[in-house]
Amino acid sequence: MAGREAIKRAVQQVRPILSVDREEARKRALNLYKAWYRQIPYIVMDYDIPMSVEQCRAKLREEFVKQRHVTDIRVIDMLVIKGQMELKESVEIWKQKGHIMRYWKESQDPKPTDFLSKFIQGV
Amino acid sequence: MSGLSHIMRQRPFALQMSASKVANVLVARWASSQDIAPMDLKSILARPEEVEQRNKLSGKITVPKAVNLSPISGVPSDHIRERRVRIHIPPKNAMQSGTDNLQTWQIEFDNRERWENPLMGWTSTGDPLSNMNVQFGSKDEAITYCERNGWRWYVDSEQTKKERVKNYGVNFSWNKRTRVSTK
Repeated sequence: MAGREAIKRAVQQVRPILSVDREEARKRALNLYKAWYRQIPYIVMDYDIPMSVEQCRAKLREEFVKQRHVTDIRVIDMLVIKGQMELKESVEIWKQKGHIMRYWKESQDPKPTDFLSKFIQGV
Repeated sequence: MSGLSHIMRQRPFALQMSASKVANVLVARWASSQDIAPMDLKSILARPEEVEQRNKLSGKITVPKAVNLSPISGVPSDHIRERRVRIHIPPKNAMQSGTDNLQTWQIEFDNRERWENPLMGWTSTGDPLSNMNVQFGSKDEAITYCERNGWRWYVDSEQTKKERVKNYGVNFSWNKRTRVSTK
């Protein structure tokens, strides 16, 4: 599989989506973060969710940090586009309360991690 | 012409310059029978920042060839971390079917829990990837697809078909015991 190793190291020329370099992609991500950060008080008020502004901001940070490992400029751009769409949907109240609360996954049972509980649950 | 100037009066000041340009072009077109190249209204009316952005995006950027699309593919993260993909050529039907559609490579995910539905007795599964049937022209294409989506994969060993002579007459060759005298 020497060919596959070579592909891993190789680079290619592609059309950009929004940004042409890492710095620009980073700026876009930060701008999106700021936009969310500023809208959170209004979202909390409009949707009347049982969460405080601080909890929402912690969740916002968590969602961004989750994608920290992404380095590809085009993938970052797509994530920014998706985040922008989510923000728009939240701000325009195209979502409902449950859609906002879904970020906390309160209604989902945590998946078992050890062997025995996996076996008992049949996962 | 009076209609055009009426429209121009209603436009904001920033657009008036470019709008008058458009008007000039239109007048020139009416005045002479000589044909001029058609101009794109969007490119005339674009602001300098828009033009700059468009020029920038028309170029190319350098990215690594290995792309990981798992953050944007929409597949849940535990289905990316925990699944393993088997890349294989589907086997021939054991009955007397032909082998015409067995040239493509397929991907198949490891099995997840299935259960019998208590209502009808049908088999149910909670696994969204269990029925995903994607075919590829070659093994490498399938491997690339899995790597782009962040799945672990393995290639199932290729079964080579044993060639054998299919000829009824061979059974009665000179050195076969089947060739017996009738006397």
